[in-house]
Amino acid sequence: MNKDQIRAILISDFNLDNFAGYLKNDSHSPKIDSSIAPFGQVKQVLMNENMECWETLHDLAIVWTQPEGVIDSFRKALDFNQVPIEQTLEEVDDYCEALSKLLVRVNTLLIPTWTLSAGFTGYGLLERKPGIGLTDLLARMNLRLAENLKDFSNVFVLNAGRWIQSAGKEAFNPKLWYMGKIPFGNQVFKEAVSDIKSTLTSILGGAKKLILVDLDDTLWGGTVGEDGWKSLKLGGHDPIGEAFSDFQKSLKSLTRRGILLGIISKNEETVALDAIEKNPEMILKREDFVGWRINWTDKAQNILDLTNELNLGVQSTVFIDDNPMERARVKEALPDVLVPDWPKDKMFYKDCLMSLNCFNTPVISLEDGQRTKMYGIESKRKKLKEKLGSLEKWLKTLETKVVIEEINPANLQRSSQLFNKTNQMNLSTRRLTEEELMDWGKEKNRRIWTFRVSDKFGDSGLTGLLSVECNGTQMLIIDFVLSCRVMGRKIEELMLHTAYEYGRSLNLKTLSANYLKTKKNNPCLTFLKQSGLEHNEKTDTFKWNLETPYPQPECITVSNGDSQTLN
Amino acid sequence: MPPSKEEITQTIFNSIDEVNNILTDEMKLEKSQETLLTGENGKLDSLGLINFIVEVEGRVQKEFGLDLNLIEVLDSPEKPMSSIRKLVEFIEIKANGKNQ
Repeated sequence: MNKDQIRAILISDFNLDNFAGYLKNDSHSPKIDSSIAPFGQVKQVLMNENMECWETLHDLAIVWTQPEGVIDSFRKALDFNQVPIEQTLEEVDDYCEALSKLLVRVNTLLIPTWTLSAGFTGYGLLERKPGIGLTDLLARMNLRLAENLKDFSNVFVLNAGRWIQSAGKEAFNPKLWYMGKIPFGNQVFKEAVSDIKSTLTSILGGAKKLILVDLDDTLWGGTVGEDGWKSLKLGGHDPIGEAFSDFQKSLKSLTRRGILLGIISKNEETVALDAIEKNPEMILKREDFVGWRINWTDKAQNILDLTNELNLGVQSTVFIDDNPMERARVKEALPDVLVPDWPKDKMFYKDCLMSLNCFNTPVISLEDGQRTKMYGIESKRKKLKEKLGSLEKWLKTLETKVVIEEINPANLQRSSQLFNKTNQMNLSTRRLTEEELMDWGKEKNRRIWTFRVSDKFGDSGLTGLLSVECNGTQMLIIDFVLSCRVMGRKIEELMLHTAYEYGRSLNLKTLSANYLKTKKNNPCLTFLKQSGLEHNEKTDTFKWNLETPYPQPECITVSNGDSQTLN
Repeated sequence: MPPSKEEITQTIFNSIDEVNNILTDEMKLEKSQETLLTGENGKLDSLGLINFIVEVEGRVQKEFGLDLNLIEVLDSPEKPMSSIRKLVEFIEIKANGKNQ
């Protein structure tokens, strides 16, 4: 999928023109150019790849249906006919089978869950009774849909119920239905567009990774510098204090999903850190923050400094501050930082945080929950580096170990996550689903290796990916991807050495890499320029004569994992 | 107190802003009294008209407490849906009638 323009096909049993209009006119990235498949022919469109709508290529399909439109048993049940649950679920299975056929025609498939109209009362008090209630039946159908599709990493079942809930009274309008065959009010489509854009941003690697919070009247009530840490409004039997506690709990819960926390505050550092450590009501502890800038400097400058320290782009950052002046300053100076409008009322802080849909990632790995800890370890490494001075000396003391293995079913999910989330040390910034990545690597002239890095401080996990393609006597590096967590520790050189070794084993002559510039991957260019590879500045291509050894960094111990290859 | 002509016009312009979020560039409506909605030179197709009607009816109800049924008067001699000017006049008369 291309970030600049995604080609989508919309498939439905109802009129999706309004939805298509909102998709097209929405100014947020990514832009979506959509076409609508023939109205009301869902199964034909899914099953028949020779239909005219498939003559053009699409990156994405959105299949949004009404349950009675595609599941005949449910249509009968809506008319209060008795229908066995199993029969309905078998029809859901058949429908999922048809949906899966789409995956040879599109990269990504989005399926909003089925919903009932708000005014539907059905069997009243029996609506949740298994075997009778239609609400119960529909919940089972949605569950079966999600279960059936859970193993496809490029299929996402979206929660349409939330869109309807958010739209409230405007979720349905009979006039739109009777005059336009549109079952939802336009507010539902607006919510859907927002959710879908967020989903696509996540798939394209644009999810936010870091939340930077202010302290006074943001993380706690009051001004610590004036009131002292004992007088802060936090926790206890006080509605405002409880609201701040809940906000902190929500921030902490996000760290379990791999979101990092940092502090940007105008305060005396010692006073503020003292409050974090000593106030017994603090939910967030010092170790929950991967870094901070607590001083009297401009907050925009502080954000730049801190994101640089963390090797994160400002695009990955959300800034939360109760002060509208500070928010305006950061918005103006750093337009790539997401600065949400923040409620004046402290009791809305938690809801506002949890309604941000910019943190979603297409997969959640074990390593996500460890990310804050990993950054903490990285901070210890940096302190050692400062102490030891020379880079070489410091790297030797780290006792870095790297396990190299080919991509395989066991590491595919994490590899795909790294592949699709990494922006900075990324040669070509390709975005591929798990299946696409696996299929790509299956070609005989291609290889994909993964790099798992650990050192005496801890395990950074699978943080590198290298792919090459061999043609004739040449080997081309296609993907050179390294997590910012391990950048600058000679893993980059080890990856080039790995490519060199493989090229030598095949008696190839040259190794080359074509750098494709993006807004964020300058660190990759910087590395390649100092890597020793011959640089053609006009084309930003890099070459290495394979007759000349490309040495393995001495500071790294390498072992090969037990990989189960794809070929 | 019935809404003023300016208030009604503003409500309709707000409806235009909303409906323009759905319309293609060539169909987008200009916020002007002279904008033609239906008829030979009208900018709206049938779906655009439905959306515009639903939006105006919803806003007029919410802001002025006035229930309109613009579909029913689509072909009436006053032709309230032919232009923004006619629509404003139609709503003004309805609002005044309600308050008399």
